[in-house]
Amino acid sequence: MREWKACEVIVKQREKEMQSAIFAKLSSGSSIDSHVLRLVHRDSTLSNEVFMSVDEPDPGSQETPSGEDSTPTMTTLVPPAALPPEERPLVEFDSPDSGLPSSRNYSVTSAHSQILSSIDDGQSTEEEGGGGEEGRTPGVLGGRQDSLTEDRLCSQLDKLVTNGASAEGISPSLSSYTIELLDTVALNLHRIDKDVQRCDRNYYYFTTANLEKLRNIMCSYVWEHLEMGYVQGMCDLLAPLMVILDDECLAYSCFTQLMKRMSQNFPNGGAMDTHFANMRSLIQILDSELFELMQQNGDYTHFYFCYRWFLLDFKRELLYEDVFAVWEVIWVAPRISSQHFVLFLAFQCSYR
Amino acid sequence: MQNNHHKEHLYKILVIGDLGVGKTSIIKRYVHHNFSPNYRATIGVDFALKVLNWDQETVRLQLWDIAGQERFGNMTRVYYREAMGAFIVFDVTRPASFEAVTKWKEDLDSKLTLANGKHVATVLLANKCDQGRDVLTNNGIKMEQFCQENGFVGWYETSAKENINIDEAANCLVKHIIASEKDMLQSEVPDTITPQLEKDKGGTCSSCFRAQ
Repeated sequence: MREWKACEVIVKQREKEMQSAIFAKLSSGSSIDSHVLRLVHRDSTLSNEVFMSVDEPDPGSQETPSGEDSTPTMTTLVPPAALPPEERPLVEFDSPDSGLPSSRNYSVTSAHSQILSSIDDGQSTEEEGGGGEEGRTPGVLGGRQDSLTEDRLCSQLDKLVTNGASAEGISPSLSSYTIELLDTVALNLHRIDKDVQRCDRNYYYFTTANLEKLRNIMCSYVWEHLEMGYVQGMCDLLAPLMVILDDECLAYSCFTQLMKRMSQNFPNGGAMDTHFANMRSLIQILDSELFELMQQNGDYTHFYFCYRWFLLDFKRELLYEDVFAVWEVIWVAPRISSQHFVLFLAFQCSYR
Repeated sequence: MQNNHHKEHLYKILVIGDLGVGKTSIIKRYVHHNFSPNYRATIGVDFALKVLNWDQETVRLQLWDIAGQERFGNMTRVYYREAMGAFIVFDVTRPASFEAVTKWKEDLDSKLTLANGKHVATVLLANKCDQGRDVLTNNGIKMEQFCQENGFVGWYETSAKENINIDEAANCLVKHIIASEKDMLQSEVPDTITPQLEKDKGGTCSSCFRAQ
């Protein structure tokens, strides 16, 4: 979770740089940098020489009172004993987003920014050859400043990723992917944000606080499955689990398990086409009259109208209390009757 | 066709654009005359029907509200089928959604053409104009020029929340759809003499042809 949160900070910074030259004033821009810098510095004490030079100007920037408290929240650990080992990313669920530096990025004085720009310069000498990314920010900020920021962010991300990954035995040579990775994360975060904001808002459970939890879980999951990324519908699958479990860690675990089956229905898996084909065969055999009717009226025998049923296990077609009942039946069906139980339900739904 | 005084038209209209730009909100505003901040993300496709009185004729618009992430799926080909017009929506507060407009247009044009080989009438909607005009002002984009270059028949700054320009945009689209439909009917006239041309080419009369 720390990894995607750090990534998110960087992504937000990049978005600001790219989207609005007006907002990207030096002070607001580099305050994030400094926080990230410090944060990264803390995180990467194991193997990090690149940021050593930052130590000197760093005390000067501590007049931002809120500056330091972000770091402890990032490293606060929930006792992991109760969790199975593969749930490791969960251990930091209790760190609230509000503890992130990104929420304070406008609260910096210009004097502060002076100091920070000197950090930037010190930084640049050591990292000039690193990312090689050209400035992406239009307008106000100078190109040089931008490229430095980008460089530094990239190498920070790289460090973060490397640190995170090395623990799991992944090769640390990720530096060439960082821009792509950032783009991917930015895109996914945007999609997640858009969908979290409008996830079952009419249902009493989804208060702002609970939506925040939903977002945490979704971000954690997507970060662990970046190759698949966030696809619309995932929030819908998570939401009932949140409601019934009302616990971030449990809901995450449960969602991860659920997605082992459901992810096959999303564009990267092939299950949806199989569902369509099965439905087609079923209707054709069991109700050829209906099938012919479908063919005559514009040929709907691709059965795309069943898409949402299969993608969400009928979640959108039912009221919440019914979702729980139906999902339970669907979940036990592979053990007691058939893995294709959803087909039976779909058949019932489509039946005239 | 028998009753020219009260003809009925049914047009399938696509509403596409990146996720979260307000496609569903626009449709709800247009069809149900209301706005809610609590709409859910569209999964797959949703439908809505709008009935218009148009020059003493009835026009039924079947609006296809296609999920924003569907451009990456291959179901859009089926969704696009037999549409007569389209709205492509972007969010004026989010430049990336404007960049996606050309991608949506390309996707649409590559998968859908009218019977006469032309692209369907498409109107560009710059939605959420009540929240700012970042994209329009910051990038210095000449929207008229952009529309011409990319084959849009028009563009509107809209707000589903404040009910700005949505009826106007829809009327513009319907006008162009009706025009292109007339265009197609006229271009069908040469088609009717196609058999004669073939007959001349083959040098046989139709009965001989049948005998073969």
